[in-house]
Amino acid sequence: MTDFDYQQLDDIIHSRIRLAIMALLVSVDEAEFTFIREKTQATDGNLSVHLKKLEDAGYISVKKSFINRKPTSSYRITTKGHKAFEIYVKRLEKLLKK
Amino acid sequence: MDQQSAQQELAFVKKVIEDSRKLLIYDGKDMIVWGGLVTLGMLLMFGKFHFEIGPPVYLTWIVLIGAGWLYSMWRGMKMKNTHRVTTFSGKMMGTIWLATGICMTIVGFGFTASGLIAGWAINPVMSLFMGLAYFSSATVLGMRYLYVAGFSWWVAALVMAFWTGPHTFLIFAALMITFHMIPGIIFYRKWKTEYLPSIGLTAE
Repeated sequence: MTDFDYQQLDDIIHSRIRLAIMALLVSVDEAEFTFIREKTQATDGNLSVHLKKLEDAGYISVKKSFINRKPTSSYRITTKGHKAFEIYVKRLEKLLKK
Repeated sequence: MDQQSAQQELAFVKKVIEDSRKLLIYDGKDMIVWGGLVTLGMLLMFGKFHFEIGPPVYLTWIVLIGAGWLYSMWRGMKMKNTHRVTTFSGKMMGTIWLATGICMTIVGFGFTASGLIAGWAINPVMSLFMGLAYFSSATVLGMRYLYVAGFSWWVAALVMAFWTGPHTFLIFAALMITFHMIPGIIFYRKWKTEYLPSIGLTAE
């Protein structure tokens, strides 16, 4: 089995939960916090930390609003995020071809 | 990271993407309501033109189509407040059907009032619009049944163009049930059994 230089992989995406968030946001246009939480089965606190990390990296953007007087946050992937995700997947595929 | 981990990661990414794309967010309620309203209108028109009984033509359509638009607007506002995820295909579907609905309303009321479209021409023209919307929807959703629906509406348009008469209302009503209400019910069932449980909800 060939070892792969994992340093080539994007640290921001290279975590199970952040990878799940990115994969989820790649396939939908926009998703609310609660939807992402249910899909990733993460806890509120844990998910917030990971979303913040992706947001700080510029991979996702957040839109905060009030619906029925309740605050909601909707997330969508940015162009930078799309590119980073594409590169991440390509590198994984490259490893498999070795 | 070794190849096995990479394979697992890729499989995981694929699964998340496929599961999300499979999400059928559309509940089909608009199709059921609009299908029911138009079918009722067509049956009333058949009664009016075949047996010469029933409410005035324009009044019937103003009430039915007006009710349809009111329902769609109410749903649009409600969904804005409750939708937790939006997809590109969902937006495309909304746009296709909104554009089709506007065109059909303009032709149905405006063009008939001006006399540009008159008599038995209205049903084949409406059928063409339905075919267009279904064919586009089929491409967006990748559903073969919707292509069949699109072609059926176009074939029916040709049939109604050559074989005119009150029976065209019945043809239209049959198509509305087969290719509008039934797909709506299928969408609703899928939404209820697949989408809602996937986000931890149950139908109202």
